[in-house]
Amino acid sequence: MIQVEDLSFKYPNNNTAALNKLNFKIESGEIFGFLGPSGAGKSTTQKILYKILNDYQGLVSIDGKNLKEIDHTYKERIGVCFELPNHYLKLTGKENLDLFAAFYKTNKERNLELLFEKVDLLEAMNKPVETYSKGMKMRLNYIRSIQHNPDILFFDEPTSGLDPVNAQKVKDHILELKAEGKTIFITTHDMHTADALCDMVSFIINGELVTTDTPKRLKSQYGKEMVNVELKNGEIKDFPLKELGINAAFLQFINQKEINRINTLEASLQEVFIKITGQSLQL
Amino acid sequence: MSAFLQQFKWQFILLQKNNIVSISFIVTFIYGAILFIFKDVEMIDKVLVTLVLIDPTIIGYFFIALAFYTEKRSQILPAVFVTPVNFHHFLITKIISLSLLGTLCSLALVFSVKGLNFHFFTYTLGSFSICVLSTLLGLIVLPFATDFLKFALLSFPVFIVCINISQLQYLGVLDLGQIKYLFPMQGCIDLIDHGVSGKNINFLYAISSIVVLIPLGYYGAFQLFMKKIYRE
Repeated sequence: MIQVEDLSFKYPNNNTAALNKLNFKIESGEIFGFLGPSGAGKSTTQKILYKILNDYQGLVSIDGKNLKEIDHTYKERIGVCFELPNHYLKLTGKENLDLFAAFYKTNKERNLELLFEKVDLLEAMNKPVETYSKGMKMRLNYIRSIQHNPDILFFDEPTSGLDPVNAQKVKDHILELKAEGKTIFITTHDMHTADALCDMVSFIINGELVTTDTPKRLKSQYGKEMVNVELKNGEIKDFPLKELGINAAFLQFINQKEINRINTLEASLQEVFIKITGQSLQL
Repeated sequence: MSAFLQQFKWQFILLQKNNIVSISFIVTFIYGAILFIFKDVEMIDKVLVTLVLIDPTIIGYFFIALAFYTEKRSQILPAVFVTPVNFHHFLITKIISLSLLGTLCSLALVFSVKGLNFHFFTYTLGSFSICVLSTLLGLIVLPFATDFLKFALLSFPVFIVCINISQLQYLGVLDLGQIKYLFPMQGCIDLIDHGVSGKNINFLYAISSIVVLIPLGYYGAFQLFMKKIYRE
C-alpha cells in the first residue's frame, strides 16, 4: 500500500512548488490513475515514489513504513514501465532483459520465453533491439518492468505506441497483475485507458490534486443521469434514468417509431477532467 | 557470479557491441605499425610515450563520455536509476573496463617497439593509471555538457591543463621545474617513461600521486554523477 500525505516539493532555484500538499492512497491490488497535463507534477511525484528525489516535505509511506527510512532495496520491489522505449539498441531483447536482471538480487526464477511470448515477441527475442518497431520496443519496456516480479508497478502511458490489439493485451495483463495483488500506479493522457483500468483516479494540475475518486462516481457526478433516444425519423428526446421502465412518455416515444440509437448521457472521463480543471489533457 | 562481475561482463559486451573495442584495436594497430616501422629511430621512446599518452587517454576520456551520451540519448539512464543498481558498481565497472582496454592498447604499442624489453610492472601501472585518471576526468567533465559536441569543446582546456602541459614538459618543450609535479598525469608519465627507458624517477611521488588522485577523482566523479545526472 502507498500512502501520500501533504507531499510538497520544490526544485532548487525555483520558487514555485512543483508539488503542493498532495494526498492520496493506493491499496494493494488497486490500480490508481494519475491524470494531468504535461508539467502538472506527474513526473516529480513519480521520481519521489521511485525514491530518486528524497528532499520532499510530507510523508510517503510504503506498507506503513516511511519511504525516506526504507533503504535502496526498495527498488527491488518496484517495476517501472516508461512512456518511451529505452533500451540498449545493439543488444538483443533477451540481452537487454538479462542486463537489467543483473541489477536485482531477487530475480532468479524468470521464465524469459514466457515473458516474451506474453507480448508476442518470442520470435524477436534474440534479435537486436535496433531492428524492433516502436510497438515492439514498448512491449519490451513492459516485460522488463515486470520481469523481477515487483509488488509495486508504475506504468507511464502503458498503451502509448501500441496498436489496438497489443494495447488491449497490455491492458489485460495489467488487470491480471492487479488480480495478483500488485499495487499499480498509472500516469496517462489516455482517458479510455484510465477508465478501463483504474479503480481510482486523481487529477493533478499545477502541482495540486484537484480531485480523487473512482471513474464511475466522477462520470456519474459530472454527467446527466439520463438516456438520449434517437428515432429513425430523426426525432431525439432525453429521459431521466430514474424509473425509466415505468416512464410513460419514454415508453410512448420508443413505441411510436423504430429506434435508431439509445445512449446514456454519462460524461466521459475526458469531459469530467475538462469540467473540473478547465483544461484539456492534450496540452 | 557476483553482481559486480556480472556488470563487468555487461560493460565489456556493450563496449564490443558498440564497436569501441574494434575501433580501439584498429587505431592501436595503426599506431603500432607506424612505431614498428620507425622503431630504430633515435627518438622512438619519446614518440612511444607520447602515443601512450594520446591513445589510452582518448579511449578513457572520450569513450566513457560516448558510453554515457549513448545511454542518455536512448533514455536508458532513467531505466537504470529505478533499479536497485549499485552506483559504485555501475561507475567502477565502466571505468575499469575502459581502462583495461586502454592498457591493452598501450601494451600493444610498447610490444611493437620494444618487444618484451621493457619494465612490465611500472609501464602497466603507469598506463592503467593514466587510463583510469582520464576516464575519471571524462566523468567529471560529463555533467557540464549536454551533448557529445559540447563535451568535445570543453575538452580543449581540460586536455591542455591536465594532459598536454605534462606532455610538453616530457618532450622538453616546456621546463616547469618542480611545478611539473602539480599536474595530475605527471606520476603516470614518469612510470611509463621508466617502463620504456628505465630512466630514474621519483617512485614515491609517482605511486603517491596515483594513490591520492584516483580515489579523489573517483569521489568527485561519483558526487557529480549523483547530483547532476541521477537527481536531475
